[in-house]
Amino acid sequence: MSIQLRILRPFVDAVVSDLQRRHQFAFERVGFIACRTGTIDGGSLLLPTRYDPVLDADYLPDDSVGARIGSNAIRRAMQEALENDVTILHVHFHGHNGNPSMSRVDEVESRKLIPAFFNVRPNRPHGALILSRDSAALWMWKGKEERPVSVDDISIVGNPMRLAGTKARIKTNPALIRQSFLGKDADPIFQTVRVAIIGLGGGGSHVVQQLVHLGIRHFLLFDPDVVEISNLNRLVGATLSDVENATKKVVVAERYIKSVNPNAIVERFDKKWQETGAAIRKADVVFGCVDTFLARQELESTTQRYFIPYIDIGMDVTKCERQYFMSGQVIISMPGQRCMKCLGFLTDEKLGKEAAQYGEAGEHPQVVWANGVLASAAVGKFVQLTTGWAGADTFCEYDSYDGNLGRIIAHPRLQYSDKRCSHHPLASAGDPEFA
Amino acid sequence: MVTEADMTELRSLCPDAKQAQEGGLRYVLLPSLKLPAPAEIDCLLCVDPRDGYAGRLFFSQVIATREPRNWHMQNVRILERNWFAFSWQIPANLRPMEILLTVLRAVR
Repeated sequence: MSIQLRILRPFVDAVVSDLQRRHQFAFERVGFIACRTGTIDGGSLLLPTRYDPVLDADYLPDDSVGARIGSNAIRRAMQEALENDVTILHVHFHGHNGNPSMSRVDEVESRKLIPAFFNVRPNRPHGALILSRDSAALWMWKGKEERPVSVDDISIVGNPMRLAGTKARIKTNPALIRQSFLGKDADPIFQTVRVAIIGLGGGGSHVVQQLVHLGIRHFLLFDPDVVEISNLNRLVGATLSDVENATKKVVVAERYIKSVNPNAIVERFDKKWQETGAAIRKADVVFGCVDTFLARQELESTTQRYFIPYIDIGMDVTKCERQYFMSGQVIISMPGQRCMKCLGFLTDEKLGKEAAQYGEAGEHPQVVWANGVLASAAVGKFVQLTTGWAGADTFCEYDSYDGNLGRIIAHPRLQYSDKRCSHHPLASAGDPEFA
Repeated sequence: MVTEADMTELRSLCPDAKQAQEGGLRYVLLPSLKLPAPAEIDCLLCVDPRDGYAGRLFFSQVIATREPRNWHMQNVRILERNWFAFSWQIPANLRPMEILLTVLRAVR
């Protein structure tokens, strides 16, 4: 069974900040992280939700190690594991860049400490995490008597993301030479990141098109529908023969991807994502190109729960007196940060109105250029999120599209909404637990 | 959280009732709730207003009812499970048990 760690960047920053504080006599600080778990195909996700620093008074004088902690600190961490049924990670910090490694002392001390957590929570794995300035390393024990294994699949979820394996020796693709300004790691990132696209109509087909040209290699595609004649005004890659053959939209998308990159990994689901079990959870980023507010609410609940950034696009046309008005949105819902409810985009009123129409979005007007503009803006946010090429301050969670003026601006609601999300607390991360 | 008094009341009908929250809404899982047909079915009670309803009862599958019902929500993902619900308005400010019984009357 594989283990993957997904940790939120603000959480990492807070832990590192705490671990860098000087102690009166200890050479370094340590702490404990509680993780909820999520089930993924063939393994489990570790999702850190709580950090408990070791109190100043719980350090013991010992020159032979960086930090020696007393039994009170260990007992508190064991209590946390027992009461909340969580995985515990012992954490400390190495003040350098690059992948940290376990020193001989770290190894000896961890082997003494970590197995103790199996006395209170034998059903969960426990481990030791070392953070560096820009990376992390994790060793996990799956049982009290078992040897620790190194876990390579570590993602830091935030702006920018840091994905496992993205500094690997992957040759730069000559087809991507014109976008080398995105950074030397951009190509490995694009070859590694797993992107799910939910809905492959007007918006989703544009997203797929741009992502494959960008160099994205691993796709998870979800759409139950076939190509119909009314899709041809906007569905990139679809042809008249697809209408005649009732070709699945996932097949059209895969065909396009493979025509650009025959080595792409395409996981195709010709059904609603809700009917595919846990498949969506392994995505590193999810694009939602769906028609209804309910579908957006469902997607956001799952992506928040499993620490997956969710990028939502959508457009609408309304008529007021004799004038048509075209509008749209591009939203990034980052786990642990403001959600679409916080941003005022998903409201009970909208969900109620939609439910009164029995959940049908109806025949919403859709046009190719607006789909393209919104998809381009969304892919731009995705590139910023995964590479950080434009700097951290350029990140905007909620853009508003005025289709009449052809203009995208930061939505005014950003100024007024609370920056903390009350709808998806970290404590709810991972597989649901009922009490 | 749903109050202990309300949970106790629900457990009189479904002993294994448990609660959880998602998206700021409170839900109570009612495993193997006894219904006329099928005999037992898992249900999920939303005790907060959602989708324009003052409270909702979701079923793990569409069930047969004497009167045809409008099952307008199919495979709705809540708490990582798929649920089904028919449109049924209920008065506001009911206790969880009252929400449950009000919707169940429409199932008979």
